[in-house]
Amino acid sequence: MMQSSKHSGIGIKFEITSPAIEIKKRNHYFEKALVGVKAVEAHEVTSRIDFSTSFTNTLASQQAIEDAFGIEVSKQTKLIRELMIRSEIIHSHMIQVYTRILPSLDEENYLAYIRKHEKEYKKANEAIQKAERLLLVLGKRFPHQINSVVGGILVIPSEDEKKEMIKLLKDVISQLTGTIPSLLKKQQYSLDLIDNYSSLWELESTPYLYGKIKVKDEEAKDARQYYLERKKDYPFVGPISRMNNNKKLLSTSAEKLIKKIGIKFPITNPYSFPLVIAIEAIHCAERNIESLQSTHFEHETRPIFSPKKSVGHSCVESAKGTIYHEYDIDDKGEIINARILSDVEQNEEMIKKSVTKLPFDPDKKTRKQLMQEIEYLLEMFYI
Amino acid sequence: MKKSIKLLRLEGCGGCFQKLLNHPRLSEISEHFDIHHSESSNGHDYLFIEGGIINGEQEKMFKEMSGKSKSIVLFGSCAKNPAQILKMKEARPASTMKEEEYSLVGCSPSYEEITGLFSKIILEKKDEAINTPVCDDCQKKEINCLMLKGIECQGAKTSGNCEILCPKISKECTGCRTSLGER
Repeated sequence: MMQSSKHSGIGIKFEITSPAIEIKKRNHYFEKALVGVKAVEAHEVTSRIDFSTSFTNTLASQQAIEDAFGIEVSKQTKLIRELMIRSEIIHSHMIQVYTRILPSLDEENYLAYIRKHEKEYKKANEAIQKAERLLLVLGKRFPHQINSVVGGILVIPSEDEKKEMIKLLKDVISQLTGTIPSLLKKQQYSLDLIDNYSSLWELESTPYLYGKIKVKDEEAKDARQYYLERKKDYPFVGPISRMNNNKKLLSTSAEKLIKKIGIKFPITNPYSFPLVIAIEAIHCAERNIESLQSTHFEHETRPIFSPKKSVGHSCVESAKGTIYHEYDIDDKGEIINARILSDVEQNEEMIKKSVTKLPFDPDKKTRKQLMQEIEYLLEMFYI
Repeated sequence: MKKSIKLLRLEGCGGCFQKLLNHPRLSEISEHFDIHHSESSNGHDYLFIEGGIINGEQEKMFKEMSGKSKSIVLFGSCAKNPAQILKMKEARPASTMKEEEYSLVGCSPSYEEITGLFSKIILEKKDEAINTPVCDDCQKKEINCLMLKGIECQGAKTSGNCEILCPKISKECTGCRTSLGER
């Protein structure tokens, strides 16, 4: 039996001779923590589920409350929230590429990796700092943003901040594009495993905050209806699913890269993940640039609302995949029940299946090599 | 000889350790410390803890690893007071099982604070509790007091040396740097 404590609060135990993975569900602790909390403060709790989806869980909470109380937010609020969520995707994907994927299978540990690749690490770290700066400008705090609240946004970006963000985004695109060749070399095995996938979907955009749920080639469904009906056997969620569903709506550079690399759709190999997240981050950066260049932000008053006994839900795309929040609220505006379906939870079966299908002969590898291979595979699922 | 550090993530969002791994001066830090976050059965000089204990399995993991480490360091506010930060009544800090040698508050701590912690460890300086509230930081930066505007703000009872990002945009302090004076 081996145990990895490295991965995002998920304890993974497995036996080498017969792989059996147990993925603990952390959400029930957070669902419990939400009971008794004022609905308008729910995001203070959910922001801390996972730092790499902190902004997204915050927005999911706020949108669920807005749904419950019948609050209509402005177009500008939606736009700024989309900027936030795409910026978080950029940041989280970059962290995954530069601090997990590239160092994996390369060196003994992360520090050894950065010593060996000092120049590349410095450039990558500077780019990560730029992505962090984007989140700080938009969210006014990182992690655990404070700028989006129930009903709207507290502080709009200034003209200087807009210019700064556009420059940062262009630098991030340049860094990621330069990393594609290194990611191509990391392609491990060819596993034709992802046979069913789902994500948010809309006819004319790549949605992260709103939309219907599309499962592979089926007709798109209302998100709430989908999650109420589907209690188990979830299709695969995450960047690969999003790219499969939205391949015709990617940004110019993302499309060019897909053609250049020769990516075929639908993507079924989990080991395509590193390339997919680099391309998605570039797509998000270009969409943010377009958004910032074409928008003039103006001060707005947030809608006034009163708490009421209600049920609210929201469905958003985080860096890791689709997240669903639903809250029951009492007449004092406090949460009496919460249900959170996380990205990783939906991918549990695919993760287990992938580990059992690893195409290596355990007898020909050392324990350390086996551990490294399994850990690398888990990186493909954002664990 | 380099000191060795083992990172143990309990219940928390993972942001504090990620901040450490993203630190712009990580190369320099690594000249003094070996940092491990994967499975390691060896003993370590320092066990850095992120997050709190909420179940038996985490308790067992902490017991096993702290038994092999000379000192523990509570890294981030969640490690210091997980019940307060995560709003989980059952969450308790690792320091209820073994007293910490150092603690660093912040959600997450800034890069400068992280550098400060490592510098303290290198210089073998004793850890001291922060004894000024967030209110002092607001006063220094001439931010108008939110409490005087009738807003419920926890600044007066929260550990200072804060960047006051929340009051700067007229948002109340929610106490993410944990209570004042706790060591």
